[in-house]
Amino acid sequence: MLEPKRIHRRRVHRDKLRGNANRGHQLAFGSFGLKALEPKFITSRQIEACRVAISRSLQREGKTFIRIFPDRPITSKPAETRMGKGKGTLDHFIAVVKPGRIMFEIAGVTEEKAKEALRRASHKLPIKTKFIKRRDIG
Amino acid sequence: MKPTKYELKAEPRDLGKKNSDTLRDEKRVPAVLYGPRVEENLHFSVAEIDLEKILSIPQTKLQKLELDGKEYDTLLKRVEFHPVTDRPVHADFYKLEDDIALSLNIPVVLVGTAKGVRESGGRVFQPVRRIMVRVLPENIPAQFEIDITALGVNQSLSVGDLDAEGIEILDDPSRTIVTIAPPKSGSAFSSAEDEEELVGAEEGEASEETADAAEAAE
Repeated sequence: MLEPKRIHRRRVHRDKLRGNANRGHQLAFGSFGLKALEPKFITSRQIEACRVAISRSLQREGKTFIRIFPDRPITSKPAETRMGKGKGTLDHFIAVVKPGRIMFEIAGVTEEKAKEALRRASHKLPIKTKFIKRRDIG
Repeated sequence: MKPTKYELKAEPRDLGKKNSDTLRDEKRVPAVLYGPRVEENLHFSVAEIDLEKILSIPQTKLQKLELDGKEYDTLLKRVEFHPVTDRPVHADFYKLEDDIALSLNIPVVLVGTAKGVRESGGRVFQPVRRIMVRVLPENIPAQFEIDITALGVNQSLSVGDLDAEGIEILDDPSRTIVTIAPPKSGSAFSSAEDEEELVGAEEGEASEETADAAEAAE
């Protein structure tokens, strides 16, 4: 699973998820991509599930690019714990995804294969997504 | 090869956010024309469908722009897209002057199937899709066509290998345009054990990919 090698603070504020993506909303490496249409925190587990779904669907063909990185720590309190006694401990990492953000890109495969792989990946995500391709591909 | 010049009809427009939004509702794209000898920028709009046609062709984008009864030779310099809908929001056109060289990106198109792919099942990776050049308008090429039929596994072509007479290439000559990677070992997942191994092996690769992506994005 993806996670930062080191972090500055273990407990940080959460983002407000307002507006659309200002960057990372156009294809940069591949010919096909999966674009987020809703704002959400995407966990490293979900990213890993997508990656596995894509690599199994592509059968080791082509190249996959992950355009998001879970760099935000999220804390949680243990089960059956009363409120108070300070903030919980580090639990997992999330990537902040805003509408328009391209999360995955694929290069070196046909459109049908890329579409199917990204369709399978989209089922692992808690948001609506859309398949996009470079404009100069027929 | 000379690039195709597309005829584009433009209509003058009023400036302002409200006017631009109204144009976008009518499926028109607000645009601007500027150039080294254009004293005052010209503001106009073009039909979205015409702009999409130009964008869908992997060639240098040159146009004959018709505006207010005048014709301008232009280059589509920049297009802004909406992050979610991917519709063009605004376009920049650059007026070409015969005696003034300009810098622009020329698309790279691969021709043929590489030997390494045909015989050894290698994979083609093209990290560079556009090359920055400086040329006079009359020498602007439509695209760079690269024949990759002789490329074997682990062989690559770089910017320095391009045949570009009369064109000054601004990119680093050592920059790799296309490379033939060896086929990935193993085939489809056969058993549960293989599957686990494979997933474990891919983990390192995934982080590499992400790092590459992050590096390039910066």
